[in-house]
Amino acid sequence: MTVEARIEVARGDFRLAVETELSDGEVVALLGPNGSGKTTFLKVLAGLIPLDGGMITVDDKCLDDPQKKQFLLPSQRPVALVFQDYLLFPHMSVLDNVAFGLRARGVAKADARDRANEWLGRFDIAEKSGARPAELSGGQAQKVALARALVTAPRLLMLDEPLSALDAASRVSVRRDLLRHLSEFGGATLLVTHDPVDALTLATRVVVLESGAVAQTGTVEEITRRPRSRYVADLAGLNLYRGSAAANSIALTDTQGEIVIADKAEGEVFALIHPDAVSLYVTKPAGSQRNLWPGRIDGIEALGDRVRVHVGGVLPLVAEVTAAAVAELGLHEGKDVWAGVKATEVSVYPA
Amino acid sequence: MSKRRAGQRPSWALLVMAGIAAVFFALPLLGLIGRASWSTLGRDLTSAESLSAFRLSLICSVAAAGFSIVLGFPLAWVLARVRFRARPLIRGLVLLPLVLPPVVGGVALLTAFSRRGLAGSLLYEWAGIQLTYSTAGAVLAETFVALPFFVITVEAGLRAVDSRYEEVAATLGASRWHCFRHVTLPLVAPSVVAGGVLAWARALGEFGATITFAGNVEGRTQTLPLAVYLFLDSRPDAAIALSLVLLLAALAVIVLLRERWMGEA
Repeated sequence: MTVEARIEVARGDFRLAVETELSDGEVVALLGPNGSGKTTFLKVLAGLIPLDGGMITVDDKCLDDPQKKQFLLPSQRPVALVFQDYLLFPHMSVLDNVAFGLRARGVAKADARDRANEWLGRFDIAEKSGARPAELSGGQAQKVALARALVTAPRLLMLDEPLSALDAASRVSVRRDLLRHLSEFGGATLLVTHDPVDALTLATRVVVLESGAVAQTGTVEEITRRPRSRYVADLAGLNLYRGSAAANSIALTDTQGEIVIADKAEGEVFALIHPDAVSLYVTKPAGSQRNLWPGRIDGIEALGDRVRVHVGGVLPLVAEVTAAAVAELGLHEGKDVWAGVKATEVSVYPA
Repeated sequence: MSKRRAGQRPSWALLVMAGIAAVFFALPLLGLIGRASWSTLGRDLTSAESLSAFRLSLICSVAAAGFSIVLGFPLAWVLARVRFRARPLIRGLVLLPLVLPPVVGGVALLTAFSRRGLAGSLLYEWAGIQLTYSTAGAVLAETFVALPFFVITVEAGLRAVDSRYEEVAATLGASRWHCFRHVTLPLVAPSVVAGGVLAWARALGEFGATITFAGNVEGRTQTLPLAVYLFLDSRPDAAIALSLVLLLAALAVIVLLRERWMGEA
């Protein structure tokens, strides 16, 4: 295992307690709402925040262990951190920015510049080597920041929301380049993101952090198939409810409602409903549908050729329908509707 | 957006008041230039007393600016980057010489550094050094009043530098010294220059604390402002000539720092 970390940090009221392992070549996405401790997590690994408890090792070398009173300074760790806004040194050329880590390690100037130039070439921005960071586009600045981090051959590369500072147009191409560079990088990568697309395209594994603790971990496919928190469900655009099941019915924890399910279940469970499976009606339908809730539309958003309709009521949910259906039913904000879900469309798993 | 707004039309009363204020500043300068005796200017400026005052002022003000930088930078850094309970108190102490009447500053320096002062007596007993009535005393008095200008300028400069640049440098393997030398210092350099120039200008013009603490001894503590004061009765032409030199120095400072304060916002 390249990186092993058991992290305990307390800052004021906030507590971070996370255990994780990363191996070579693995790209782990750290997902979580604001204030969940993602950035603190990165800073602890980088050595910018010391541990209060636990330990961190990289290649079996101890970086931080408060019990053994061991602590390596950030400058002595085989760890690189790329900040969200890149933070290229504004008073240095692109080349000197990339050469910085080598110069700091005592590499001679000419040699450091040669190697920095080689990295700039690898990132297809050799022609910018003499430019100041202020002259770069967002995508170029990101490449320079990445090259600056990789030139020191870190064992663990950490990226704090690497694409959030870019506009939507350049994000796609930068993400593609990032994917290529990450696959060439031999060490472990940890990237913080808000964007499920980043997690899906870049990461091999996802760790979901909520209020300082790991809420869920697995591949993107695994965690979206069985989300265990509101945050993950919202990211994936799914309807998630929690309640206690008794036979074929779930009494919901947060609302008055009840969900009828096909297979018997007992105890605390999650109920997941895909927006695809929700049918909307303008008048109460007659028929065999077991789950039927009245509600009022409080938002409509287009998503390609699909339309997501947010329905408020006893059971707030999102329905995904075709644009044709919206026109046909005359759906608009404030309209009263009925939402129906077949019992067989509700997937249930233990909480 | 790029076009300037036509702006408010100011009232006449406001314009008149503003005009009076501008004239209030301009008049003394015009007076100084008008009253200067240009024909004897060369002789007034090159008299033995004037030259000695020049030399002394240059030495003392540059030394005071140097001490301000050497002592002031660590203090500014601590005030900007380290959180500790006594910080507001220390910051207040630093600001004190800015608002303290310089004469009071001089008296206070006497109680601390004169031969019978708190630290001065030890200095005299152990090393036989007497600061009062010496050039070192003049430097001390000038540093006392100049230091705050440097500290507050550089503290503000350090606060404006994103400390995450230092974090990045650390994660890239830079030692504290490498980071300071190659990241912090270049980023804060404009503030260091501005603070140094301000401190130098303040030291150059220092009068009250110097005359109180170091006295008015020709060739030892009689700097330009003290010479101006002394000449005013006996040789008013020389006093005005020396005043013009100080005015020129002040103008030079404004030109040097114009980007900082006089840029069109």
